[in-house]
Amino acid sequence: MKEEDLIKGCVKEDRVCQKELYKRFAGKMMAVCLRYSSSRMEAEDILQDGFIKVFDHISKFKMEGSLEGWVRRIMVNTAINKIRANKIKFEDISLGQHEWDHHDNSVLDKMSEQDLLNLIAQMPQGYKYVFSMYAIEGYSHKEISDNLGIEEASSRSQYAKAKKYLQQQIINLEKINL
Amino acid sequence: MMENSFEKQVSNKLKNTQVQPSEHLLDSIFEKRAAKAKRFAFYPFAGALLGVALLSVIGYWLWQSNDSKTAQQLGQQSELPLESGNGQGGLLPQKDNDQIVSMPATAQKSKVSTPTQRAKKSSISAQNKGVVPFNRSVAQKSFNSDQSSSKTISSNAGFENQYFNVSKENRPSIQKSEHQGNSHLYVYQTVSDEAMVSRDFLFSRIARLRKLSVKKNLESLEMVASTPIKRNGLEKSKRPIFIDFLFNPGVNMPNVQGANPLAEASQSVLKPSYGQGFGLRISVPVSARWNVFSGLSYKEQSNDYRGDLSYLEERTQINQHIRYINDPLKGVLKVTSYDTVNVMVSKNQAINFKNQYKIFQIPVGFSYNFGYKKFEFAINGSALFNSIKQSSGRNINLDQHITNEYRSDKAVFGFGAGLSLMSAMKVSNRIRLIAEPGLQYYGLKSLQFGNKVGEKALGVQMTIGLRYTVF
Repeated sequence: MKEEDLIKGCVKEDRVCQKELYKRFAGKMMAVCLRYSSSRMEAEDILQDGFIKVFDHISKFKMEGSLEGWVRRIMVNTAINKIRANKIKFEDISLGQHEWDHHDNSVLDKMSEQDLLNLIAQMPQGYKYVFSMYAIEGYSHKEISDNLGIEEASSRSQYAKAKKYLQQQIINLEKINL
Repeated sequence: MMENSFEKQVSNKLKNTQVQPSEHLLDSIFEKRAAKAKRFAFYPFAGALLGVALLSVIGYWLWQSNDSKTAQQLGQQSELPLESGNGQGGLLPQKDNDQIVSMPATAQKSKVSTPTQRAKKSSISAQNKGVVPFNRSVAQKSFNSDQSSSKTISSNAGFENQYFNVSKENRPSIQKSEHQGNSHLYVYQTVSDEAMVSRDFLFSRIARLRKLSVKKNLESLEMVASTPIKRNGLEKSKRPIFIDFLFNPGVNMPNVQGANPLAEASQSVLKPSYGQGFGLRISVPVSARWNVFSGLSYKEQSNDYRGDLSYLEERTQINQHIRYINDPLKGVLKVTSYDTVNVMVSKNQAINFKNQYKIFQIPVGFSYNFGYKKFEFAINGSALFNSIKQSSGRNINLDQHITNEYRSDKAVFGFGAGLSLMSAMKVSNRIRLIAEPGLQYYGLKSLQFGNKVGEKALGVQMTIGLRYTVF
C-alpha cells in the first residue's frame, strides 16, 4: 500500500490501514522508545501513547516530509513529556583516561546494533536522554535544553560526558570479547 | 550538529534498529481510543445534566420566594382559614377529603406537603367544589379489587401507613399496566424473592455486565538488560494532591424568608449585590474519575437594600366649604363651614443600606473529573459549613418609617450547598489555570445577629484561580 493511501485510510479511521501503519513503524519506534525508558514496559507505554496521538492527529500530517520522521518526532515528544513528568537525575561518573581513536571506530563498526542499544540503555538517565536526543535524533543543544528544562551548558557538558562514557563502555565490551 | 564520525556511526547503526513490541499492544491502542471516543460522547450529557441541575436550583429558589409571597397574600386577602384541625384544609368538603386520603401515601406527601400548599389547595377546592382531585382516578383504580379494605382516615396519624396497615393477604394485586405515577411503591411489594433468580433476570442486560479483563504482558526484557531505575514522579500507589488557590467574585441574589409585613417589605427592596472571597481548596483523587475535596475560604457578603417603600399614613384634614345663601332679611350671606376628615395618604420611605456578613466557609464535597485536549473539567458538588463571624447593617422599622442600625460580632454556624463546573487549563505539569462558574445556596442565620429578617443567599460566582499539583 502506498504511503499516501495509508494516510488517507487512517484519516478515515480504516482499521486495516491503521494496522498496516502500526506494523510498518512499530518495530523502529519501539527501538526509539526503549532509548528513553528504563524498561520494556515503560517503552511500550510510550509507544502506545505515541500511536494513539499518531492516529488522532494523522489528518494534520502534511504530505511534505517523511511519514516516518513525523511518527518518530511524535514518539520522541511523547517520551520527553513522560520524562519531564519525572525528575531527571543528572549525575557525573568518573571515567578512565582512554582516548577514542580510529581503531575504536572499527570496533564500533563491528559491534551489533543490539549490543549498542544495550549499552545506551544502561547509561545513566541524564546521559542517555541527552545523548539520544543529540546524537541520534539530531536535536540541537538549545532544543534539548528547552525540552528537558535544563541549561544549554548542562546539555553540552552532559553530552560530552555521555559520549565519553559510551566510548569507554564500548572499549570495555571489546576487551571482554577479546 | 554532529562534529565527528562517532555520532554518525552510532546514528547509522541505530537508525534502522527494530524491536518488536508485545502482540497485544495494537489491541490495547484500539481499546484506549474507543474508550476516549466514548468519553467525548459523555460531554453533551454532562452539559445537559449540569444545565438541569442549575435550572433546578434557580427554579427552587424562585419557587420558594414566590411561595412565601403567595402565602402572605393568601393570609391577608382571603378570609379562608389556612389550616383546619385535621390538617387537610378547612373548607375542603368531607367527600373530597376521603377521596384524597385514599390515594397512595407517597402521592399525598408530595402533593400536600407544606402548609402553604395546603392553603392554596384548600382555597382552590373551596372555589371549585366537585372538581375531581388530581390523582383520584389512579387511586380508585389501584384499589378496585378490594373496595372494602380501602379505608378513609380523618387525621394525619394513620395517613402515611394506610397501605401497610392492611394485612399482606388483603393487599390489592396490581397489574403491571397500572403501575403509573406514584403507584411504583407497590412494584417492590409484588416482586417475590423467586423473581430475583428467575431466568429473565439472570439473562437481563444488567446481569450481562462483565468486568473487562486487562491483558498485561509481563514478559522480561528481551534485549535491553537495564537495571530498574527508581522513578521520582507519579507512582501507581501514590496519588497526586491538587491545591487550588481561588478568588471568587460573584453576584449574590439574597432572599428574605418569612411571611410577615417586614419580610415582604424587605424582599421588595432587596437587590442583587456584588460579593467576593478567596480561599484554598485541596482535592485528592479517590478513583480515576472521582476526587474528594475540602478547604477553607473567606468571603464578604453584602445584601443590598435599595428602593422606595410606599406606605399609607393616616392624616387629619380640614375641608373648608363656602356657600352663599340668599337671606330674605339680610340679603346674600356668605356661609363658611369646616369638615374635619381623616384620610389615608400614600408616602414613600427611601431605603438604601447594606447588611454585611463575614463568612469563613469550609466546603466538603466530591467532584467528577473528565478531560478534553489541554483542558480538564470537574463537576463539583459540596456541602458548605459556614462560620459567620460578624454581621452589621440596618433594620427597617415599618412603624416609624426609619432604619435602625445593628451590629454583632458573635460567631454563628450555618450550612449550605454548592455546585460548580471547574475548567482547568494546563500551563505546566504542576500548574493549571482555573475558571469555575458555580452556585452556592446557604442561610446567613441573620436573626441571631440582631437582624429582624431571615436572610438567605443564592450566589452565582465565577471563581478564578491556580491549581498546583503535588505528585
